[in-house]
Formats: sequence, structure tokens, C-alpha cells
Amino acid sequence: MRFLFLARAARYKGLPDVLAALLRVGRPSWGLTVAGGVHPTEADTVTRLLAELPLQAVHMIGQVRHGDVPGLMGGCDVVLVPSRYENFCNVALEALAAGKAVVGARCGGIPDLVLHEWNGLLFEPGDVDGLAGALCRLIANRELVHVYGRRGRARAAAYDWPSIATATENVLRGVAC
Amino acid sequence: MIVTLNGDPLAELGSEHAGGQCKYVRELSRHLLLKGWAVHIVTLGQAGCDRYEQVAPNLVVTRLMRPSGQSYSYDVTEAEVRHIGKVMRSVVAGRGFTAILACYWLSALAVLEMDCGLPLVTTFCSLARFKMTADPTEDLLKREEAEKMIGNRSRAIIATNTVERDVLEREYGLPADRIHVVPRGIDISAFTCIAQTH
Repeated sequence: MRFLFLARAARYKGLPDVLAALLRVGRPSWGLTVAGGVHPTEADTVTRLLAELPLQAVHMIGQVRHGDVPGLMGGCDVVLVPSRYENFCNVALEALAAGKAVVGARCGGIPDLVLHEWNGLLFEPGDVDGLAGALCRLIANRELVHVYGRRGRARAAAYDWPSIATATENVLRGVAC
Repeated sequence: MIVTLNGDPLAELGSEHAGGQCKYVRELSRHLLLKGWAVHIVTLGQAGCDRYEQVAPNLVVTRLMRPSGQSYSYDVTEAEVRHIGKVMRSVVAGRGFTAILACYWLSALAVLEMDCGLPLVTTFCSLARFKMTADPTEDLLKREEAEKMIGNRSRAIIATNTVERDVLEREYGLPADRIHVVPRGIDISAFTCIAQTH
């Protein structure tokens, strides 16, 4: 089971929570790809947690170009969005569009995109045990991962840009001079 | 006109200050163009960038710099926002804009400072109330008050999700009929091959 954590280098994105949760999951049968920078204030924590995790289980690939995102999504089974807070969460939407199951924190726009036990699993922000539990459930049930992914793909269709642009246009026309 | 002071929408995505909001402005602009709108984006420039860039027919980016010619830092001060607002008056003058979409609270502050009479639509990017759940500070308390003021002076507010809508309505006390939930969009086709392979 390969997990993907994809985020810009912002402190609230929750990378330390992912690493701490994976420590509780233990080995074997998972790998994690971390795409994006590490915020300077979290560097020490991340380094310490990485040292405790099994060698070669975590691939830190650094910042990626936006054009590489679909390929990254394609190389994983589950996308993790463990933010401490969030606004909309584009990564969760991209994961749905790629047909991937999502494990996400219950904050901001994530619960609008990820329906718990329908196309992914939710946990409370900062709840490392809850996150670890969700990861264990998916590791133990690969079929569930596929089902969530298929449902997510269908859900993403409602967010296609032409529809969203039309909705935005309607707001703008409603106030325009 | 779209005002976005927290990141150049044409910057390479993924760096610390080029995340979802930059992508949103870029993609929204592209799709508004396809619908026949003319879009003028105002953002902050970096050293060496073009201050005025005609990206496509009907799509222009204006990048603002400090009076000294240097770039602004990411966290512009309130005094700088006031100055930016005054500079934006010259961008607006004579161009016949029909509305302004401000992305991020500082963008909306600058638009209000500009005081141009054009209807303002605001989308906040990330509310201070959300940020405070992880990192409560005095600055965020002040920002929340500013967000309430901005919401009250905006003709419409775009919330990206239902949680944000609820906070704007119940916690910020903004009129429900001015709050519209419009999520961010996605180019589904970019992920189609991945999903089919899967």
C-alpha cells in the first residue's frame, strides 16, 4: 500500500502527524511518498520521526512541478490530507479526480469532498491515533481502497472547471455594474 | 479585475507561497476568458518580473512593486496595503471594469482602500478563524475583525465550502444572502488517464 502526502511547505499541512501515525502502524506493507518541501519550523521533528521509521519506507522527493501531480497520484493507492486546518484543499480534489481513496482531517473543505466511509476516511485534525487507525483499515482492506477511489472519481466530476466557472460568473454577474 | 496579493498566479506552484489560491486565480481566469470575459489580474511582483504582462488576448497581469522598485515581502503591512490601494486606482482608471474579485483578505483591504465604487466580491483563501484553531495569535484576532469588516462591505462573498459558509454566517455575522458557496474547480481531463489506469 503506497500513501502519498503532497503539500506545499506550510506548517499546518500535518506532515509530522503522518509520520507519527505511520510509526504506530508499524511494518510491513506500506510506503509513503512525500512530495513538497518541509517547513523550517518542522524540520527537526520530521528528521527525528524519519529516523525512527523503517529505512526506505519513506521517499522524500521534494517540491514537484504541478504538471507532475497526476503522475504522482497515479503511483499511489491512497492520498493523505492531514491538515490541522484547511480552506478548500485542492489536493483532496485532485486525489478524487485521480480515482484515489483519501484519508483526510475533518476540517475546512475536506468533509465536503471526502464523505466518511464513502470515498475515504476522516479523522479529527491532529488526532494521530485516528489517522493511524484509518491507515490500518485501508492497509487491511485493499478492495475498500479501490471502491473509495471509484466513488471519488465520480464525485470529482461535479467540480469540473466549466461548472465552477459558471457558478463564479453568476456571482459576478449578480453584482456587476 | 482580480486582485490577488498573496501570490503571483503565474508563479511555479508548490513553493511556500504558491499554492491553491494561485492555481485558483490562474484557472478561473482561463475559464472566464473562455466565457468571453476580459480579465485583468493585479498581484505583487518579484525582482526581475514583468510589471505588465499581456498573457493572452483579454488577459493582463499587472505586478505591483514598492515605490523604491523592490518587491514587497509576502506579509505586506497595513501601510503598504494603503499604498497599494492608491496605486491600484491608476490600474482601474478608464478600463471599464464591471466588478472586482478580491482573493485573500489583504487583497480586499487594498480594494476598499482604492475606494473606486466598483462592486467587490471577496473570497478569503483561508479565514483567520481557521488559522487560529492551529496557531492563535493577536494578529489573527485583528485579521478576523478585518475579515468581518470586509465581508460587510463586499457585495458578495464566495466561500469555498460549507464549513466556511457557516463560520461566515454564524460566527462573523455576515448576511446569508450575500454568501455563495462555490468550490474550487479541477481539470478532470488531466487525471482521466490515471483514473482509467487505476
